[in-house]
Amino acid sequence: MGDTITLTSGHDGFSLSAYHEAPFTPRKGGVIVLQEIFGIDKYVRADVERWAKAGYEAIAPAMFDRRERGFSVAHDQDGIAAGIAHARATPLEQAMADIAAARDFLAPRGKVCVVGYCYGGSLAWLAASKVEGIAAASSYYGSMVQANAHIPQHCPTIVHLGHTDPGIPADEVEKAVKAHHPETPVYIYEGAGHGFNNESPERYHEEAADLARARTRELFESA
Amino acid sequence: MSAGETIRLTSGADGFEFEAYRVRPTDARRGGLVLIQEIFGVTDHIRELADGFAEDGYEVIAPSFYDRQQPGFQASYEPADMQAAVALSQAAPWDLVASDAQAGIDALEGPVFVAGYCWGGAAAWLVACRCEGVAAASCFYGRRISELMDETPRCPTILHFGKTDASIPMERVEEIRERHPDLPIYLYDAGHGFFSDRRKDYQPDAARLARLRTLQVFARNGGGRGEGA
Repeated sequence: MGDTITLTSGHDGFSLSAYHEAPFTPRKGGVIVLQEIFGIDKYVRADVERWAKAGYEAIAPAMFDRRERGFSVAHDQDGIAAGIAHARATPLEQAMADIAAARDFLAPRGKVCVVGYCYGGSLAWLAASKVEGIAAASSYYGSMVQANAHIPQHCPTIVHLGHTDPGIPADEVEKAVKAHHPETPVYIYEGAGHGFNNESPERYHEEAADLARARTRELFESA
Repeated sequence: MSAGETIRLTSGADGFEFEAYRVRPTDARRGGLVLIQEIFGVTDHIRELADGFAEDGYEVIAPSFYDRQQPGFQASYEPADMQAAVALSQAAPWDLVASDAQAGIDALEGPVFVAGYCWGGAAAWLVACRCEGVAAASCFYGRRISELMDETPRCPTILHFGKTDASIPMERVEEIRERHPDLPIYLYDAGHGFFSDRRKDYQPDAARLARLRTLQVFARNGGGRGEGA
């Protein structure tokens, strides 16, 4: 069971909350888990716990705290609309500063890696470029990756995409990323859709999730 | 602390009236679920499992299958209780078990699913084979599926077994697989009863995965809410 901590953003001095869990086994490092549009829900908390079980001190900053504290919505049409509205209203430089605050919390105790899903997948890709002191980044199905494929990456980064994701054309994203970063692995998962790591019955794709997690763990361990 | 209530159901086979635990969904409704007990009766643990599925959107009914013999029976995991529980489970004829389960199914609005553990794992298999109106079934470590192996489920059915279950040797599981090659049989690095946090064989990672697979087979067979962005 994790706890909630408070981070102070360098963007505006705002205090945002973050869900935090200490490693279950000897500490390998820190992991920042970047949320989907749905807020810090049970799936994000489960992911934090999964990283803690894998030996990482993990935190998931609440990226929408300025707009709505404790935001967590169902994965239905209303929830999607609310989440998208929050994501659109969140300036990216503010999000980067919030991620830097999470880094500052973890960095005194070792390396800091970033993993993000959906909205957080975009943020992970951007953080690998714009937030210093990140050891590695794993970006899952972020819709902003394609448009930002050209930005320089300051740490080893991997990208995971579901081939049947209706909103993110995996082959095109791969092409865009490879054009600027031929060395960056882009993994496309056949038969998997958007949100395949999310353990809800509708989204979860067990084989893809297992493989992408193994690849992310390997990246973080070698970072 | 249970979120549900006790209701009464009537068996179609002999008109017998028996109790069941019912809990309504606390999330948008996905369907009904008949949850079938371990040999120990409808215990706190079974009610907790039912409450957990209610949080995922299921209206759950857990019938008390031993009511004909000993109404309200609930055993601990102590050896003496265990013997009594085994005796009760063996004294419950499959025909009546199916009819009691059918009463639970009929009390629920569709789609109706079934899940069972231990003795209930075999009973869930039986229900998938014999009952009307079941959309999908998930059977956890049912040793006595072996004696019902010649019957065939009439709905999508998945089976879960622990690889180190001393009461169910892997040869028995392989026999089921050979007889029913199309059925997904999931094996876990776990012993018997790995889903129950009351048992020493509790294996939380295996339980989480098995539960997720169960929710998925339900969601893909009528329990979906069309989520997805």
